[in-house]
Amino acid sequence: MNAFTTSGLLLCFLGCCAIYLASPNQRWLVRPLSARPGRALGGILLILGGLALGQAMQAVTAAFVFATWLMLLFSLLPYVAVLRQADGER
Amino acid sequence: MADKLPPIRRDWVSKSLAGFLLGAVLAFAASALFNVLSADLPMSVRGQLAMWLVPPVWLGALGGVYFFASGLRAWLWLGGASALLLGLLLALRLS
Amino acid sequence: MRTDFVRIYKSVHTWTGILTGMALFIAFYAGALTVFKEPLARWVAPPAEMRPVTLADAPQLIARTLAEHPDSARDFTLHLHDAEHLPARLGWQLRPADGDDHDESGVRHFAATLDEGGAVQVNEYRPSELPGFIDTLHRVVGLPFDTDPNRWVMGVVAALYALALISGVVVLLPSLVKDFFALRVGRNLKRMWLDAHNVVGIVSLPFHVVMALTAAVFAFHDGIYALQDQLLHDGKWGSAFQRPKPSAAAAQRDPAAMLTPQALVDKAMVFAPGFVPSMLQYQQVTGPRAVVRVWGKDEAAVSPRARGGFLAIDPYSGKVMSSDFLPGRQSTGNLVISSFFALHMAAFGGSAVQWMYFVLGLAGAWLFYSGNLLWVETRRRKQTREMPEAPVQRRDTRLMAAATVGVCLGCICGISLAMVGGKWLYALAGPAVDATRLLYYAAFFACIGWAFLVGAARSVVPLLWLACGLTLAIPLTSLSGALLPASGLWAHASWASLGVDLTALAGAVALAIMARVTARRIAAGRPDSVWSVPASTTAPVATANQS
Repeated sequence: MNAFTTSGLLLCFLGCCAIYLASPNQRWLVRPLSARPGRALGGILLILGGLALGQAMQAVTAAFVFATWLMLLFSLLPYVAVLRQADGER
Repeated sequence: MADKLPPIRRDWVSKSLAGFLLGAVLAFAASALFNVLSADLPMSVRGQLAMWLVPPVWLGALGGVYFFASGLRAWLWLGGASALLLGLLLALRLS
Repeated sequence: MRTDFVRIYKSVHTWTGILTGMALFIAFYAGALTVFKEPLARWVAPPAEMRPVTLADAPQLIARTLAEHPDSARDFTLHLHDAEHLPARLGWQLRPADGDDHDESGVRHFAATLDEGGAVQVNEYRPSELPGFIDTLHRVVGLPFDTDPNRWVMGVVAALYALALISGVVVLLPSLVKDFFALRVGRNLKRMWLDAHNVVGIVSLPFHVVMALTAAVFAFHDGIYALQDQLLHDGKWGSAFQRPKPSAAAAQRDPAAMLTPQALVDKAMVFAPGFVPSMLQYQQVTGPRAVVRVWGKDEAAVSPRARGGFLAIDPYSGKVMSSDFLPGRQSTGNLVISSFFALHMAAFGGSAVQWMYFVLGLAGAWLFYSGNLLWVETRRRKQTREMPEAPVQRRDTRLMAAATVGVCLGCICGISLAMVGGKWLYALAGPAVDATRLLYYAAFFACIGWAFLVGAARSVVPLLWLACGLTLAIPLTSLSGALLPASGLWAHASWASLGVDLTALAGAVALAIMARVTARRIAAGRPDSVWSVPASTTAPVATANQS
């Protein structure tokens, strides 16, 4: 993996976290981030991440990697919150 | 108002058969149309794409068929669409 | 969305889901492992005993092998890198003439090397059936052999799965925005399972749509092609892939005149920078249609097959014959077709994407498991205040809970046992015995039988611990091989092989956590559930879980 791939995946990860934290259903924080700035920040990070992936690979591949990575992150982030919650209860 | 609309009939057998049978006709007709319209592609590529077109159309019809208000309507709409596609194909072949 | 539609599609979703859920669990669990088919093959392969040959000596190896074993000329492979599952640099296979394309059982494998004196030494060997068997499980939803009828079963499952996806989205649409990302864990179990099911299902929907459609195509393409040949291609489809006849009179060619493997590799890398060759597949090199496929991968591109793609070169002139299957250099039409394969098999973006697919595949297995539990939870008979005792649960929910637990955990136990048992049997009995299938199905059916015998509530925790133990035995077996080589066991130190051990260790930890959480839930659970253990037997089970 070259630097563009790594930074692209990292930026997308941060973007997904921002969007998740701006959702009223998030369970990481006591209160969600305010919706508009949070989503805007997440969107910008995702765009930057996508552009970085586009530097590392062909456009089609970058689009596939981007979509796969987002599907994975958005599935897992709510579950991470459950694990944290379970730890807190113990 | 929602309650003024006519109720959606379930018609499980009739709708499912329409989706399965006419969906197949629709899918193969769509692939035939694609095959005719993309004659400039090499045959190996065109044939593979035509094959890949069949399951999405077929399964799409099978999955969407329960949106019709009744089994009769499903048969009429899907049958009409199939007839339209087949007619188009015939016209293209004759022209 | 009218509530009529939601109600109708809920029926569709329930029926398609309950009919296919357990089969799809197996397909996704085994499929997630199949992403790492090559590391699995390397992990299970016994240490090589053949003498290594350098790439510089490969021309002699090729020429002498062809001279002494002419039946290898049809199709042989020269590997560019060493790996545990490749006993020698050069290898070929002989298939029975009447065998099925996907049937590997009748195939004979040969490996060739040069001894110190430069003479060819050929060994026939039997590679472990394990990686191929896990692949087969995922291709045909847990059936033992990849045959036409079994693929049709898979095709029907895939079609129902597609319907389940469409109907699931329709059912979810009214609450899609409001409940996005919601995962509410608490007293309302139905709510919790619904959220757990929805969050994975809706977010990874494109992944699942791709899997459903490609699986349906892989199952039925022969039939569709045959029908389209009649309807669309006037019977000429078979000729679409034929290469033009060679113009010169067919003469026997001397393979000694071929370019060296290194020269062929260099040609491919000049033609396509970024392409990393892994092996050379020589086809009909003594005939007029000689061709070398330089197989390899390009992380920046979409590959047409799981093992990458290839550049076809004439081994005598070095002329490029076809780049139709070269990753990153395909025409748009071929790229679209390759994308379908790549999106099913994680053949793009390198190992990062393989790991993503591995986790998405396991998440898919979780989707089907949670779907079944949701079905059970929805049909629970609740105890009201007026009832002195918990009501007897419906028979169908009890059976479905037992089947879900038995099939899903049986699949996990079976695969882990087949991996461990294969290695131990090889250490004890040598290559003659390959009991992969026997071990898998013994564990699989034993787990199902046990789950039905004692019920879901009493079997789920012991079965989770069994799955944990068998999976933990995977790295322990390698550890035994490393510490006690005299036992006949072995451990490979490559990252691919160590990755299998470490992943199994992580899997065992995850299963242990699940076992503990499940045991706690059952102990603290309500009596009006299929997950409750009747009071008279709670004590022994609970203490067993504490240990």
